[in-house]
Amino acid sequence: MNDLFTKIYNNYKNDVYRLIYSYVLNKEDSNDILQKVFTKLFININKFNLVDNNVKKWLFKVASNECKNHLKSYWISKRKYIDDLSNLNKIDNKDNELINILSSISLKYRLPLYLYYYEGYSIKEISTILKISESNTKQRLKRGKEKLKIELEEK
Amino acid sequence: MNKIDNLYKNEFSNIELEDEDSNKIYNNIVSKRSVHKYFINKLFVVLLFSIFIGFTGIVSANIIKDNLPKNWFYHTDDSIVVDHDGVIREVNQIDYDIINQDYVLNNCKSELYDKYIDDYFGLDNMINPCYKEYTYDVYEDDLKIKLVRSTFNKKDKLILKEVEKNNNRLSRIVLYSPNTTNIIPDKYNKYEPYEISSKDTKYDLTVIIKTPDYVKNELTDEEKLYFKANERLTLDYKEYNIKQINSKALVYRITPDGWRSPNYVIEYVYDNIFYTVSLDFRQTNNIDEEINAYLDSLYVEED
Repeated sequence: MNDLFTKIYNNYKNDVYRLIYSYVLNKEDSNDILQKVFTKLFININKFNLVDNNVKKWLFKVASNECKNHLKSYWISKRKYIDDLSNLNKIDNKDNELINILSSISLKYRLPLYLYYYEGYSIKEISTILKISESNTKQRLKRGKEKLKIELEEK
Repeated sequence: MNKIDNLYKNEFSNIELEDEDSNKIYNNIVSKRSVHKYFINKLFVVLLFSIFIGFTGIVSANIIKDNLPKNWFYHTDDSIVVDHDGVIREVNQIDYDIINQDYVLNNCKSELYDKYIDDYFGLDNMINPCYKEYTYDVYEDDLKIKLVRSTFNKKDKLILKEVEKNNNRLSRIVLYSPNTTNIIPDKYNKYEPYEISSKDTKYDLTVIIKTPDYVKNELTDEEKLYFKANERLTLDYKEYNIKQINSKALVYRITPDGWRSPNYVIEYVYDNIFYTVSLDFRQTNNIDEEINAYLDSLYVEED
């Protein structure tokens, strides 16, 4: 069991990490969520017939749910950054134009945009992973693109 | 759009999980530390949910209880007091040993009774009160009578059953609610004063209630017509067989004693005294014949 888990972990840890990062946009939360996602995989690894492609989609699905749960949780929603640390965060990301822009757009557009542009998933696949309708996915992508475009033009 | 595409490709391909973090996460999982934590969290959520459900259940139950009419008998130890003129008054949770007639008269308002009857019988068909059984205390003059069980018939009367008198079990007593008007003229429902005695017969005649003279003497023509011999009415679940036996005896109602009871209650006036008898027909195949035999036994040669 551990061998299979190790293989999957090593193959997909960065993919899942990136997806999570595109949503929460910070390293510490991404690590926490990543651990939860792979803990779930570890618990359920015998329950599913995990084929390569399915594993990735399953992990993405779990990750997207965990991201939403994480940000909805009481402790996170009530968290406030100390100004200095918040500035540090910005300094860290000053070379990452897109990530700085993403922090200013709504959470609900971040995952569809990432899955579309970076992972290259189709609208149908995105709607399956995020458990939303295809038309909703289209709409989120469209609005997300528009917002990104406006932000990029303003820079 | 190409710019966005490129930005995603360039910026996110640089984002990777650091080796140190990766190893730490992997070790946490494989050593099952995070797995234990995961299950403890689940358990905690289940525990919180159970506490929440339990708490809301208790609160809801109290809200429901608080909003029930006060004289709704959700307490089996609630009590009803019947005073000598047949008016039933409710007393909640009275102490059987210390209550007396004065207490009843001084503390129990007749409005309570009215409200009780309204609430109870006003429910109409929503419930079948026939098989509600409660324990009540009934006091009559200086006799101490405890009603062990009672049965409410639909709308027209209150039957109180299984009476204990001075700790000796009487099997049956029937009292009418005073607002009964649909079958029996209202005035016959006020039995005042009455006495209760036990009498052994093969038909288990248990209660004699004296009625005013007008039961016999003041029947109007209309009422006589109403009680005409052998008239048979079917009302809901009840059947009535009204029969004039002779000038001394008038049977005016035979009622199945509840839907599932094998007993029939026969109520009649004989020689100016109101009688109620409950007959158990479990041993007979022909109820009508048995009832008629009993009625025939009431026949007395007139002087």
